[in-house]
Amino acid sequence: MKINIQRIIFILAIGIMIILIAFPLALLFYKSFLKENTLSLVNYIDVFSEKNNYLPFLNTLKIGALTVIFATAIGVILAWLVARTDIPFKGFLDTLLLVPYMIPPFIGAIAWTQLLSPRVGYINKIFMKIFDTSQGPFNIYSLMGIIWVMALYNYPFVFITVRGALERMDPSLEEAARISGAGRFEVMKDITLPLVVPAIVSGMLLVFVFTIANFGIPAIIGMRSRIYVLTTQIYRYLRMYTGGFAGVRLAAALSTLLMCVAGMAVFASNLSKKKYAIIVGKSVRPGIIELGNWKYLILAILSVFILITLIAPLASIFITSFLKAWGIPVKLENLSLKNYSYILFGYDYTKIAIKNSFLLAFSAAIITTIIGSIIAYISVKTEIKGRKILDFLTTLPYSIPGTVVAIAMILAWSGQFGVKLYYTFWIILVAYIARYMFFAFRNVSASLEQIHSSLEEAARVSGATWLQNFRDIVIPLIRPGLVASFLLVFMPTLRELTISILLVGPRTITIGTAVYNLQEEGLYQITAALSGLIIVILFIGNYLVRKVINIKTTNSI
Amino acid sequence: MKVKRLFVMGLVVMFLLVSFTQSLFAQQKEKILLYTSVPTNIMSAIEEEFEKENPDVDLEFVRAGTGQIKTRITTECETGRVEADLIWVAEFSYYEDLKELTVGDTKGLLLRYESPKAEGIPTSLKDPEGYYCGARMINEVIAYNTNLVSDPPRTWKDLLNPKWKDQIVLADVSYSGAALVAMGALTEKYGIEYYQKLRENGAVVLEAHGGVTQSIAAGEYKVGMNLDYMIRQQKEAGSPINLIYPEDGAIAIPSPIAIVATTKNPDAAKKFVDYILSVNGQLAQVKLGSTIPVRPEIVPPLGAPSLNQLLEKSLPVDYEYIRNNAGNLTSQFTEILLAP
Repeated sequence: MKINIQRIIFILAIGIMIILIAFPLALLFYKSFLKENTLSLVNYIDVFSEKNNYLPFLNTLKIGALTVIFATAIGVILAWLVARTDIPFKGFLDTLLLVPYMIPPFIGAIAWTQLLSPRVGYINKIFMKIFDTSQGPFNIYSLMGIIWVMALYNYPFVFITVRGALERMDPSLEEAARISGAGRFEVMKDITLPLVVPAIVSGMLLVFVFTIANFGIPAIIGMRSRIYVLTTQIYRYLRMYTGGFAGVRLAAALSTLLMCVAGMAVFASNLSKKKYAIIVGKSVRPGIIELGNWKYLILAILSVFILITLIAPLASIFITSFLKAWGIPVKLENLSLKNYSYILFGYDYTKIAIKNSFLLAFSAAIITTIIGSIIAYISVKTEIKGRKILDFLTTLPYSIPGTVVAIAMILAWSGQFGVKLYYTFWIILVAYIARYMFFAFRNVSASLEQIHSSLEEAARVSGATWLQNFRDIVIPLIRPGLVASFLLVFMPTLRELTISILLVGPRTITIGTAVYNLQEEGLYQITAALSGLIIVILFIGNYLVRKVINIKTTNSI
Repeated sequence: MKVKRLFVMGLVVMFLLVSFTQSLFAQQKEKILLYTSVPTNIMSAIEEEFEKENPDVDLEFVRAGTGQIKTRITTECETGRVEADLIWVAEFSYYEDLKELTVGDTKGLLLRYESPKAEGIPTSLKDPEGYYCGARMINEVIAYNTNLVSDPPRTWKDLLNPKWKDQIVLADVSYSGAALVAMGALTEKYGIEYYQKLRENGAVVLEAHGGVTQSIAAGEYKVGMNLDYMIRQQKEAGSPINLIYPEDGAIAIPSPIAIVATTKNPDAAKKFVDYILSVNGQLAQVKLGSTIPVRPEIVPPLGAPSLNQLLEKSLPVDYEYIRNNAGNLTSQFTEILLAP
């Protein structure tokens, strides 16, 4: 009996994942080789020979590589400071450094254009006043501008992974080296660094994949200076052709290219993964280095860093949102509440966008958690043949940029196969589920792996059916994993832009696309007001959710 | 544990039910959906005025650049269903294209409606066959920042003067219908070289005229090609921006409104067209949008030429030419001004 139920669920799961993920992606891959119904490489030749196409490709690589360098540098230094030194205010620093997570990247980009626009940016204006010039020293609308904002948004990935590794490292390894006579630097170079490299590489991979897949930052900062990357070029193709689907052909070729770049990065990072057994499970704190008087200098530098990278953009958004018009001096008489009043009471789309985004995020989070859990259980706890295929299908979209997922969905579900989902709520939901399924799957798998089979066996031996076992043993034990997976899907989909900008229709507008459209239209004040509102909603939401998890996890085992 | 799950499920179901019933209740009014390129804040204000006069109609609008609306309409036709009941964009010649589009079994996307309120509007601003009618006059003119510029360019050719290098901003032709019409008129007069020289002079392209207005007002750029009504509004709000109707001819763009043939609420749609073309609707547009009215008897905004004066001074626009060359013009603009 047990095998039959499991088998059925397994086949269903594979079926769902094929329809959800494999089919659209395969279609995309296929269509990229098609021109007017004949198979050919002409799309790819176009891609590599036309300046309009290979330049975005090169830009994507450039920006990806440089962002990785900057983000890694910042992330590693900060991680080391927090994990291995006696720098004060650690708890505070910790949360503060993770705030970029809560401000959507495209809103961050908007804020930085307000700060560093060459002639009217707030920071530039300060310099212009001091040095009496007609132009400020910084120009956000440049390649460096894109890299700067990207790095600011990505260093948390490196920070989190490296800090985790540094904190959980078994100190006896380092102690052994010290006892053998190695100096402080030698220990760092020969013991600590190599052990932490897998974590750094892991962080670098996340940075690279996130950077090349991002749409909002290069769209808002790069387009004015004619700097295009793969994601923005795909967006332009889709928009340029008023003939509907003609642009999708080239978009498909570029999307496949983008997918390959991401895939190669993942592959390369897997190659260099050597697993060192550094996490021993004991809660020992590794050696802390005392900074002495350097402490104050470092704290000062850190404060400036936080001021520039976190406070400035937030301040910028809020100041702009209270200004009556763009570019006028920031004086009391120029401030007003009218932008907020319009956003809250006059602009229909505020409510529609918020409702749509919450509905989408909630549904995506629940559905991915349920399906992800089932697949995770099959993968970890059963012996069914072919579960590796299921694994692969679930993991595949992880490295695939949102833009590619969106294009694949458009191709698959626009009526050519009987299912018309384009411009509806459902196509966005399906895209989100495909894209984020992996997060749910991975989290629940990790939780499941920690449950020793003896617990389940004990239940079965006492006479429980498989279903009772699942309900009374498994689910309570993996509840933290379930909650974590829900959140890991809910938070990003709530403020998502990259996928929805290609899929939204008139009534399915989301928070991200509402802000982007207003910015595109040039209504900078109103955009800032809506952004401010969203930041407040996200902060409150995050705080509430954290409170709920703390209650939940302390109530469970 | 299962109880908790059920509880969460229950929440979801309740949430969905509430949204569903909300939309049910809202259906007591006649709903119409408008696709328009009229700026969001102006359209919101007009919507409020319209709904005051017509409380039984619920108007919703989607604001996007003309280029985006065109893509949307084409895609919706391909999927067999057009969502909009009304279309109001800046490109006059596009409506001829709409007459020939097919969606599902319906040939021709526009509904023929000659509003009684259209009497008195000059014939040159209307479709002789009665499918669409100009509803507002917007004009592409020269804008400049009054703090930074004491001798603004007076003609389109003046914009090519090297003293404006890297200080010129304009809107994207693939986004804005008005910009496309302006390009049509300017290339007929000065050839495509005009745009090449603009690029050589360092002109920067932003998607929408809204951005152009804001950036000139802020001093990001000194001059630009912009829409008159936006400049007037910003000027009234106190920004250091002013406009010049170029001596070699402003480009007058009569932005027409039309009803979609597949509309489920033709009566409500007609009410909106009637309102927009009526005296009240035109007055509302002058007050809330600072546009020049299409009814000659209505007083234009302060400082603006009257409709007749405008039509005399403007650059002639060949809509046939624009219609046949829309694709070409767009790709040329992209090649010349948007390519790296």
